Amino acid sequence: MGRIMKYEIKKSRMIFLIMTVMMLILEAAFLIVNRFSINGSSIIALFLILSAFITYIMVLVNGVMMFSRDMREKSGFMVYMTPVPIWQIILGKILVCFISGAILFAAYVLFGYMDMGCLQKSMAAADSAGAKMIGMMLKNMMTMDAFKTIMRVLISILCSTFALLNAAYLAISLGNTVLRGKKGERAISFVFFVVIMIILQIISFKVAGLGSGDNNIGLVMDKSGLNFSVAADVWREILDNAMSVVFGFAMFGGSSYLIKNKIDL
Amino acid sequence: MELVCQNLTKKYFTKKAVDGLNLKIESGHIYALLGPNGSGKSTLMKMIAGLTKPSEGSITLDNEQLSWKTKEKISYTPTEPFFFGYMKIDDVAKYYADFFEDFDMNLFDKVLSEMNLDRSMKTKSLSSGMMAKAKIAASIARRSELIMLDEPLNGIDLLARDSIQELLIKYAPENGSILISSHMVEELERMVDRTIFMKNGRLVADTDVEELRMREGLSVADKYRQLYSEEA
Amino acid sequence: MEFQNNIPIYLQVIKDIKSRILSGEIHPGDKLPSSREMAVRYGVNPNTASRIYNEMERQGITFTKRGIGTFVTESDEDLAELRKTEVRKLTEKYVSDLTKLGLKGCEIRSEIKQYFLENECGEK
Repeated sequence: MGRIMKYEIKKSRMIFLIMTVMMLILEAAFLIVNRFSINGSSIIALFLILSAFITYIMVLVNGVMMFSRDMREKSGFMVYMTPVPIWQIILGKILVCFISGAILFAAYVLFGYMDMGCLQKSMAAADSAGAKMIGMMLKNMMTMDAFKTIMRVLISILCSTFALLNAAYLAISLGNTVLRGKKGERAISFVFFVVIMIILQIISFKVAGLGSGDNNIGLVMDKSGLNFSVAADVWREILDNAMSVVFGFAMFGGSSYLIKNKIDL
Repeated sequence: MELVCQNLTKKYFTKKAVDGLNLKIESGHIYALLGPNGSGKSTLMKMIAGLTKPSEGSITLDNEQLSWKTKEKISYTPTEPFFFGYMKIDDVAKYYADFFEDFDMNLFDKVLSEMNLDRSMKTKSLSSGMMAKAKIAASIARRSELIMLDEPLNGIDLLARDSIQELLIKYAPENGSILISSHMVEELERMVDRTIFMKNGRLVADTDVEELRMREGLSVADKYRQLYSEEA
Repeated sequence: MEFQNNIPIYLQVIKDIKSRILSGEIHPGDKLPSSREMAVRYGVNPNTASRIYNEMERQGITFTKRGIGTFVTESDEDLAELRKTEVRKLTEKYVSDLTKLGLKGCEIRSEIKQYFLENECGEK
């Protein structure tokens, strides 16, 4: 499986390189500009956040598209002709996508904390009241409690991403099984994907009871400003995360089964 | 090496691309797999290569069911280019060496130099003749027991075709076989010693070529016309 | 070498080798290329090449020394026999072709005599 992963990385070199360079350039820009202008570095900070989201999406999309392309194009022969069990091929692809995305995202989080620290100091030392207020907000976000909360949110994101990735792979496998080579293959994969995601959400809602009121996970605005919020009940959250991972693996099993027994290149 | 297909069938909705095929491929031969478009040649090869799952029937290699392990011994080369876009010939060699135990790097380099190909060449920028040669070099260096080539001579100029034929004759595995599917019947006359004719997914004939000449006084092309011209 | 595709190829190659032996291009006792090399040289299937050697050995034109290779016979009788057979084959074909054109035996003989008178292809 390591060999498969090696080549998945090689195939995606360009994207990974671009994403990393973009991140490093923005980060460097932030650090430099922060010395001169808080407004400037604040703007760059926003770009960094935007860049983080774009990176997250790009890495996932890249992984899913490569899998889809392997099903539809001749380069897939190169992958599936190798004497490697199908499940290892698929797992290798998923891991490369997931781990590379996680690494980049972790880098952003790290830089984020670092930058928040820099910005907070600059803001606190600034003259304007507005800056001082933002400085306070940032300070709040850097407390241990806030840190824990942020970690919980990130873990939830990771778990759902794992499930999402596997759902996409399963949808593509279903598309290949049902409509090999015909025009609608991609369209029907998309439909399957939507259906699977809806089903997952419904199960998550019914079983873990998440998604409403107190049990919302995400970013909210409340009296103390911008905050991350997590489910009031930690156990629901853990259950939901566990379910995401379990379903993720189950869907991976489904993809492996379909491709192994129904492959049609 | 013996590859046996039993009652092999591949269905697509209502159409049967391969229909109840029974075939035995033995060591030490170069087979021509012939038939008009849509007769099931590519589908057959892909099923043997494990890239497509049969709907019914079985394929065994030396009495072993096909699996990811048997992929080590069987190679399939499609008509179109299929290497990863970023690859140079050097990358292709390393990829093959990484995945295939029997890959013979020395043989690969030897064949490359005979073909005037260089490791530093980007596969994306190879001409169709050079790409065809590169693909075959990789197949041969894998030392597979069964080398399957799907229309390898398509769109290739005369001189490149000649070199490819020479390559195949020179490096045909002694403990294995080559299976070539092609439209260029006349081009294959001298190189192959067995021919498999397919029509509508079925096996129509499986003959020894010299026997065909001796007993029936027919060339492979003549036999092809005899078998398929009723459609006209 | 050009081949006719509806006649066994191995027979055509054998014919070619025989004429090269008889013309002196290949000498008695010469070592012939390996089966595989032969296949490459003539551009034929390796099994066809094996068939060629098997048949030539059967006809006594070549012999094999295990581990060393295949050689053209040095036996004068075998070579004389070969020449005789090949010449006879050509004669048979020639006569048969002319007969198809309607010539009788004596007419064929006159034709040959006439040809040599005109061309003075002499004694060797």
